[in-house]
Amino acid sequence: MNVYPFSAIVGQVELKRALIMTAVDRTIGGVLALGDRGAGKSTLIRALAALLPKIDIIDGCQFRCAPEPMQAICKTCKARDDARVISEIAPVIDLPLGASEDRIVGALDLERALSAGERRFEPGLLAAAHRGFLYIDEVNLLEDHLVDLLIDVAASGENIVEREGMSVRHAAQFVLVGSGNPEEGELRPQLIDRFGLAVDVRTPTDVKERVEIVKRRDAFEREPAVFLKKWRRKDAAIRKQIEEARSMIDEIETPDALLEEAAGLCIALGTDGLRGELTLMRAARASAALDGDTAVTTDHLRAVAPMALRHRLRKDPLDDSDASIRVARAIEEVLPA
Amino acid sequence: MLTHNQQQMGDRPSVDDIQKAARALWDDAQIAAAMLATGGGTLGGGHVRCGPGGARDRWLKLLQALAGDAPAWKRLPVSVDTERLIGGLDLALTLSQGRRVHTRGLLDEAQGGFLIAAMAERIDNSVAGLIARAMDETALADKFSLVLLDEGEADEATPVILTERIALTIDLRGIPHSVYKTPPLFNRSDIERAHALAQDIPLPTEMLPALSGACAAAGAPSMRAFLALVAAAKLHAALSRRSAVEAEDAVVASRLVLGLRLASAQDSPPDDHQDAPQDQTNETPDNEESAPDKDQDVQILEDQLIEAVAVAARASDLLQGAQATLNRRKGGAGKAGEAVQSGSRGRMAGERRGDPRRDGRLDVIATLRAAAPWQTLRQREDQRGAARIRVRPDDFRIRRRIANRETVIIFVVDASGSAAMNRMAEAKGAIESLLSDCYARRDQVALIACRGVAAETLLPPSRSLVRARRSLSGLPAGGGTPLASALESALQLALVEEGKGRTPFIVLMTDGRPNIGRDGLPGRPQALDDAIEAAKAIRSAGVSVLFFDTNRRPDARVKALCDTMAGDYRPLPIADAGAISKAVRSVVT
Repeated sequence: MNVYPFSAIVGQVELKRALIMTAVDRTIGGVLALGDRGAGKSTLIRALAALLPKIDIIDGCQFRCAPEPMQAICKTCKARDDARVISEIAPVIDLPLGASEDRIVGALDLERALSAGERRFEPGLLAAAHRGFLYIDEVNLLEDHLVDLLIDVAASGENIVEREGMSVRHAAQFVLVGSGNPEEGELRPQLIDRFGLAVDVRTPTDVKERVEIVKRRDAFEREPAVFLKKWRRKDAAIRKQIEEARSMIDEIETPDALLEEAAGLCIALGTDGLRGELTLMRAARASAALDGDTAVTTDHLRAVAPMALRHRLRKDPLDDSDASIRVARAIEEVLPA
Repeated sequence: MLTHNQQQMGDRPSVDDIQKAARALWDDAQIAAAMLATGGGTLGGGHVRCGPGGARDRWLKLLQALAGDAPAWKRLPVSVDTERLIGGLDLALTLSQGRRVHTRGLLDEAQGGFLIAAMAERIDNSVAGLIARAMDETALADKFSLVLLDEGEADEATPVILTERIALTIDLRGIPHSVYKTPPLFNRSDIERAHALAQDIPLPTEMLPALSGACAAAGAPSMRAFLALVAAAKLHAALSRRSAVEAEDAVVASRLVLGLRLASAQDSPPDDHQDAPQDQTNETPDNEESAPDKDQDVQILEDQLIEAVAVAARASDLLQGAQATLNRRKGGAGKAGEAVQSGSRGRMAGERRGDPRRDGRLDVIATLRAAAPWQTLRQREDQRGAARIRVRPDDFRIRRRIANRETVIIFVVDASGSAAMNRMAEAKGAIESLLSDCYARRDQVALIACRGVAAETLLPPSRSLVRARRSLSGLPAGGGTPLASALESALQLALVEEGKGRTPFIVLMTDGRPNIGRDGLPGRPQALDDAIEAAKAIRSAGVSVLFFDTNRRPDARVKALCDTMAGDYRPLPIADAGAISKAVRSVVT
C-alpha cells in the first residue's frame, strides 16, 4: 500500500528531528514519543522506512547478518564460503500490542517440525528489526512480561532463545521507538530509561496548520501517485542528508569544554546516572553531522538537551511543573545564550 | 453535565418531548448507517451505544440492507484469539498435506466491508491493538468499517484506541419500538447514487477553519476528529444529492461526529432561553429544503457550531433521564457485570503442561510444538498405524490465564464542613502516593467527593498520575454531607469495576454525620437512615471497606455505621497522607 511520505507531514518538528538523529547514530538509543492521540505519531514513524539508507546483508541469512565485522555474523553465515552480499531496505517493524511472545522472540518452525521432524528456528519480530527500527504504539499498555523481554534485548543487543529444546542466540540491534499517551497508563521507569530521546507530541492547534493537514490528506487520497511523486524527492533529500551525516560523524570533534558544559547541565538537572550525559553528547554530535558542521558547539547541545534529558529528571511527585520547562530553565542557567 | 441532567429529571419531561427526542436520535442513527454504507472506510466506523434489543437489531439490519450484498459482513466475537484475528496456521490442512497452510484472519476477511464487534466494552487491549493497526495500515479502498456495539455504562470501558479511530457515535439507548419501526429514510438506490457522487465532492476548503473551530469547541482537538468531520460532511453532501459541501452538511456532521446539537425551538425545554433561530436539525436529507446562502459567512457557521456546544446532546440527555427514573422505580442499580463473570477469564499468559480435560483450554499449537521434536523418534519406536503425527499425553499444553487481580481503590472523601479542606488535601496526597508506586502494582485509584447535594466523581478509576493531578487540582469543599449518595456512587462504581474483573476496594473518610438524604433534601434523621440503607447494600454486595473516622474522638455511632457495611474501622483524628496510604497498602496487599 502507499505510505504517506515523511516530508509531507506538517509540523512535528521535534519528533522528525529525533528520528532522523537516531537514523544517523543508532547508539543514541530509542525515541519515546509521548502525548496526544491522533497527532500523527504513527504516520510519521511508518513513513520513516523511506528515509533510511539501504543496508548490506548476507544473502539468505535469516538474521540479516552484515558482511562486516566478521565476528558479528551468525553460525550459518560463518560456515558458508559462497556468501553473496545484497543491499536491502532497512526494516521498520511494527510490534502490535497483541503480539505473542513467540511472535516477538521467535519460535520453533512448525512447518519443518511437522513435515520433516526437523527442529528449526523461525525468527521473530526482534530478528526482523535487526539493524532497523522497532516501533511499539501504545507502549505504555504493553504487557509487563513483554516489556521485561524488550528491556533485556534492547540493552544487550542480542536475543537469546532457550525453549522447546532449542538454543538460539542472534544479534538484535534496533532503535526502539515507542509512543503512547501517559494519561492512559504510566511507563515503567526501567523502560523509559532505555529510550535515548523523549519527545512531547501535541496535537496541532493552529488553524492554518490543521487546515493544511486536511488538504494534504485529501490530495494524497485523491491522487496518491501525483502526491507521492511530489514528496518523494524531498524524502530522498533527507535520506541523502542522513547518509552524509553517517559518513562524517566519526570525524566530528567534541571539545573538552563542551563535555564540561554537558556535565554541568546534567548536574543542574539532577539526572540519574551517566546515560544522560552520554546520550546528550551523541545526540549533539549527530545534530552537528546533520548540519554539516565539523565540531560540536554549544548551540547543538542546547538544541538537543530537551530531547535527551526531559525523561531523566528525578521523579518528584510534588513538583507539578512540566519536565520540558525544567530543562529549559536549566539550559538558560547553565548555557546562557 | 450532572446538574444539567438532574434539572431535566426534576422537570419531568413530557412523553411528547421524549418521543420527539427519540425520533431525532433515530433519524441521526439512520443517517449514520447511510454514511457508513456509502463510504465507511473513510469514517472508520460507528460506535453504537446501546444494549441488545430491538432498536439495535433493527439498525444493524438497516445498515446491512443499505450496504448491499457485496461487502463482507463479519462478526467479531469478544473471545476472539489472535490467530483467528490476523490469520495463522490451518492445523487440519497443515497436518493432512504435510506443508504449511495459512488461513486468513478475520481482519483480512472483513476488508472493504463491515466488522461488527459485539460487547465492545470487553475487548481486550491486545485485540484492540491489532484491530487498530489493521485500520491504519489497510489501503483506503480496502478499509473495513468497524461497528462497535457498546453496552458499557461507563465511558472508559471500550478501548480508546478503537473509539478514537471511529468517526460516528450512534446512540440508540431508550429509543422505543414505536419510533424504530417507522419506514427507513434511505434505500439501497440512495446509497448507490451517493456512492457515485461522493468521489467527486471537492474538499470544502473555505469551511475548514470553522470545522476546526467546532472540533476545538467540542473538546476534540485530535486531528483524527477533524479529518473524520470533513469526511462525514462530504458523505452527507453526497447523500443529499449535492455536488459540494454546504453548511447543513457541516451541521449534521458535527452532530454525528462531535455530538454537537444545535438548539432548535422544538428541542429546547421551555425554561431554557431561546437561541437565535436556526435551521431545523432533524430534517431528512431527502427534503428539498431551502439551501443556505451560497456565500454564507464562514464565521456564522462557526458561531452556529460553537453555540451548539452549549446545548450539546440534549435529546440524548432527556431519554437517559427518563430511562434512569424508570430504572430507579424498578429498584436499585443493576449488577450488570456479575452475570458474565466465569472461572476461565483473564488474559492469556502463555501455556503450560497439563490435562485439557481438567485444567482448561488446550493450546493446540503449543501441544504440537511440544510433540514435534520427537516425531522421528516416535515413528521409529511405535510401528502401529500410519499416523502422521504422534501426540502423547505428556505433550498436552493448556492455556494459562492470569485472572486480573488488579485492584481499584475508590476513595470516598467527606468534603463538607470545616475540616474538609484538610481532609481533601490529605486524601489527594494519599492518592498521589499510591499512584506513584502503582506502575509496579498496576492498581487504579478513583475519588468520589461527598459534598453539596449529591456525590461527585472527581476522578474516575485511573492509574495515571498525570490525570489524577489534573482532576484533583481544584478541590471543592464545604456544604452538606450527602453520605447516602456518596456510598451509592461508590458501590455502583465498585460493581462496574468488579464486572471488569478487578477487585474494588472502598476507602471512606468521614466524620459520619450525614445531613443530606438521597433525595438531595436536608434533614439529619432521614439522611442517616438513607446512609444506613446504602451501607447495608455495600455489605450485601461484599465490597471491602476501609473506614477512617475523622472525628476528634472515636464515635460509637460512627463505629456502628461502619459495622453496618462490615468495614474495617480506623479512627483517624488527624488526617495524614502518609498514614492513609500506609493503611491502604497494608490492607490491599
